[in-house]
Amino acid sequence: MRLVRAGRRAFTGNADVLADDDHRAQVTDYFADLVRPFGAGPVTDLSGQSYGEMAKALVAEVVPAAEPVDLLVLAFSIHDVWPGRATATYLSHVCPGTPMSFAVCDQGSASPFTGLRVIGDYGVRRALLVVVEQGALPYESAAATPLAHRGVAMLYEEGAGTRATEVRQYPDVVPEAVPELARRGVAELSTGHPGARVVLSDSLAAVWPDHPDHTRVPAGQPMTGVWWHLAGASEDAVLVGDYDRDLRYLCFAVVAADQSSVD
Amino acid sequence: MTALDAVSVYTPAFRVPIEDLADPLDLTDIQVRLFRRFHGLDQVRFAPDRSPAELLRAAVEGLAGLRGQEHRVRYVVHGRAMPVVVPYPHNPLHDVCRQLGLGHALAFTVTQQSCASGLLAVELAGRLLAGDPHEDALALVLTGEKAFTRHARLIPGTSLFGEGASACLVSADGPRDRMLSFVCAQRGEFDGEYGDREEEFQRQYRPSLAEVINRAVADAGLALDDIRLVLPHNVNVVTWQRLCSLMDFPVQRVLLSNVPDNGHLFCTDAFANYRTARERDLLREGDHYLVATVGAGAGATFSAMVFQH
Repeated sequence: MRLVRAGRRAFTGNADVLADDDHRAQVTDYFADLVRPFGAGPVTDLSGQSYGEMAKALVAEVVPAAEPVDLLVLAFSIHDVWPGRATATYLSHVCPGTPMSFAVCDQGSASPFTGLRVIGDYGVRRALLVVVEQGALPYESAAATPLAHRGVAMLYEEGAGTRATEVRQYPDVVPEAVPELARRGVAELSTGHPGARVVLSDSLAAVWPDHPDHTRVPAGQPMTGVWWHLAGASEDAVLVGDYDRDLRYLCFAVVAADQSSVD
Repeated sequence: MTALDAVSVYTPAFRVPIEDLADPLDLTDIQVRLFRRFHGLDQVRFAPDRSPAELLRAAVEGLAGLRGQEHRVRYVVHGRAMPVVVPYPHNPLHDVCRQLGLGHALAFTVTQQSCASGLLAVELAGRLLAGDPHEDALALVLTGEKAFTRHARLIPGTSLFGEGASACLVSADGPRDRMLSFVCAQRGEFDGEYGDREEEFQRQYRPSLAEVINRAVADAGLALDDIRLVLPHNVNVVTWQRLCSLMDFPVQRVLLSNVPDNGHLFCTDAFANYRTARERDLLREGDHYLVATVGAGAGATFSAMVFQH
């Protein structure tokens, strides 16, 4: 698959749906029931974003009506403020092509890489990967949240073109084992793309002291960080890498010039 | 060809008569009677002492076919109806994987197709295995979640959810229960953003399900009469009776006996009904059977999958 178009967007304020009193009441009850077994309580002032609203805007930006999509994968880690919604099913309706759609989650920063891998395995003509994160939790929590609400959408197409992708994922990697695997992953993905710009997340760079020359993505956006940079990159070849220290996933992907188009 | 190598199901012994759910779910006597007499519900299973992780673990521990094969499991895919089931960043899926020696696997959840997410997980596991360089690679597909809030316990006027879990060992080319086709149709126009479209959804429910079933059967190169058994989602009895009438398919070939015994177990119904079919010797070698489900809630997903046993 080749990347043909990407969009990125930051969102401010709260989701529009939170202006609806009925919705606020429903989700307040939902979150109260969710956290009760864990000894926490809901917050009184509900805030945050809806991935449906965020992704809808990204879809409109990245997918023209004349380019129908066959597969849509929504990747997230922290949840949004519409917890019972089948957001991917909703996105299937607003995305040209009414694509098969689902979400990949519970995998920390590895989810977008898994989404990219799945897109490759489906072998469809055109696929959209949407990576989202929002920065509010509607209950008492000590968990770190993203600094900003952000989303990235990437439209991939099968066949010869300007960019192609490959993915490497390493589960259960302790921090001490990162450097060796990271060297291997970058070497494998760099084959054929010697000039690729390397973009590493802050969490990966922190545990890889002898990392190669790279662009280091600032901390604070654990899901969208490297993808945000990719979506804004002008280079022909970009290699992104991320490490989820809690879940111990080390992941790399290269989005690079397709040799058939270079020739 | 994607195949189910082994299936384990955990259904809690503790069951609650639907009348006992009237108070916690704010159901009227008439609504309860409707569930019992019209929809064929009787009891609903719950596991009040088990956490989400313990539910999943109970299903995996019953999977005898996994023992000694853990090193071959490259993927663990949790097919889940409810997108958010624990506070962030709790992660029952990874807790279970580490407890059971599966920390080396790529583990993630697929969701947002509501109760159709379980079949999606099987199909997705097959695709990952097909693209995997290790010929003997396996995937473990899990289902199971808690009915922890009203939204997760009730489809008003339609069904009541219970708790259970399943674990399914999937291979890329196993000899048993080979997947011949999979069809999925999503209807995002029934999302809550478009207001209350319940009546329209109810009108389209059975024709839409019939359509994906017919397409799945055709994609498998079969006729509907070739289907020995249908393993349904346990939404209720009357929906399947009416669907069979619409499709001119004998309702006796739809395994509905778990509807009154279990309630609707999110994504687990398909696997629980498979185990029941095996225990009752309802599937013979070579038989074709169909698994069908509807993920309903915010939006709708209709899915059907045909296997050869």
